[in-house]
Amino acid sequence: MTLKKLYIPLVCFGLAAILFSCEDADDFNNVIEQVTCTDGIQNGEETGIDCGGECGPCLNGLDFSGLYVQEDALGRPGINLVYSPNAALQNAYNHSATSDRSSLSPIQGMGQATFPSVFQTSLTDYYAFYQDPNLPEITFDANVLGQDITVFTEFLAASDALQVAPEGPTSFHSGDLWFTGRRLSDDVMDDTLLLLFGGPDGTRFDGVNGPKLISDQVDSGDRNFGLPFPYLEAPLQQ
Amino acid sequence: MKNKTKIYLYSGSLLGCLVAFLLMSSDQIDGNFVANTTVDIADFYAFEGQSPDHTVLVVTLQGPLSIGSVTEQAGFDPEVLIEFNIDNTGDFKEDVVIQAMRRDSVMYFFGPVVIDQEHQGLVREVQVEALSGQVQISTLDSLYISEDSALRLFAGPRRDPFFFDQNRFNSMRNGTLAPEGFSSAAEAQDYFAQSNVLAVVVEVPNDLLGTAPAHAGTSYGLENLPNAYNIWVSTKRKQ
Repeated sequence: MTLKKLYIPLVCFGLAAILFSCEDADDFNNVIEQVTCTDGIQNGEETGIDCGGECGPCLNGLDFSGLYVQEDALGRPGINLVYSPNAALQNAYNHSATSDRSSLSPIQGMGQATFPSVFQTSLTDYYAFYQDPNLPEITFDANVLGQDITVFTEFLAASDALQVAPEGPTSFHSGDLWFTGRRLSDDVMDDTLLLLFGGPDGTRFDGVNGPKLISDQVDSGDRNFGLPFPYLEAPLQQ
Repeated sequence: MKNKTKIYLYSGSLLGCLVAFLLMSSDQIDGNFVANTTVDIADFYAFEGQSPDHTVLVVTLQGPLSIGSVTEQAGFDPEVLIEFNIDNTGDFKEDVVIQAMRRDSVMYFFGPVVIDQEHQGLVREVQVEALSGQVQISTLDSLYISEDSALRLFAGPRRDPFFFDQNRFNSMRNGTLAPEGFSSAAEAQDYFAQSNVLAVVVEVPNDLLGTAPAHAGTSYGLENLPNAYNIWVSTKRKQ
């Protein structure tokens, strides 16, 4: 027998094996030994093909197709609110990728401007507004983190996410610990203002000498942050 | 999860116009182009769950919503994909995402699922193969949560947890209205005290998010910080 003649029965045998192994679970010849969530058939306690029962939930024929394009994004609280000076820049920020906001990434359609450079301008403008014309010029010196204006604005823009520690306490700011999460109870706007106006020791612009800029004087009021999942209070009703 | 009452409340009715007007009347915390739209993200929170090896991710949307009819008529937009983006390498590109999307009165969740390099960025598909759970959207009077999978899930209206004297801040930013800065504690007003938001809450085991990288702050002069994921939320609209 030539080698060529051997092929035919071999191919037939292979095809039969494939067909046989695809038979449904209801057939007594079934060769599927274990029900799995990836076997392409509805079996076991599944309520659809490879879903329901022990498997994940079923899509029930729902359509989730299509492409979705970013229109808003948020990492740390108040960044866009406090540091983007106008609607066009806020919009550009919301439409940018988190990884494209450093001083190396010009803002699309805005020449050589970058988000850190825009933030520096905003910050300088805040200080200029609160400049007493009879006193020496006030500038952003450094913040309680020891960052100068260049490092601070780069930090704000280029790493704008919540840093979330899987081990240990999670808070926006607690004592000497900064940026390990954000709890519902964290007074993040006071923290934001402290970094902006508090100076190296956190007491600049405390209202004793000059305007009060490091706290909005609002706390969480009668909110209850000690609830079990989903942790948020029921909606208020009339 | 069995009721699938269709609640399309934006369907071009006079009621819809009234809602739009009321929403336009409210101040917003976010950029002007997205303010008062269904993609508008109000806030993002991330903290350790009741189980210390879990992280709770909370996004609030469309806030602040006035009490009453504005809250009652607010709804998640089925054309808007809500995403938690997790960077576990330190390059601020999303390595893992958790997606949420509404269909009828149910919020469906996908992930945590790995996003490969070529699919990172501003455009995304729903990761349907990573469907991980679903929860009936809660109402003003009924709370629904899902604990059927590794994730705990919630979607629906809640009281706005955010607090800030927003009006005073706007006065300070806009010019000469507040030369003394913020108000005294007695006069300061929490703009959000009597407001609601739409919220999506996911409690996820940390081991589904990968290993946390070195804390991003170490590149900006901060010291002695624990390893930490970089997480942000985004809303993406169907094209």
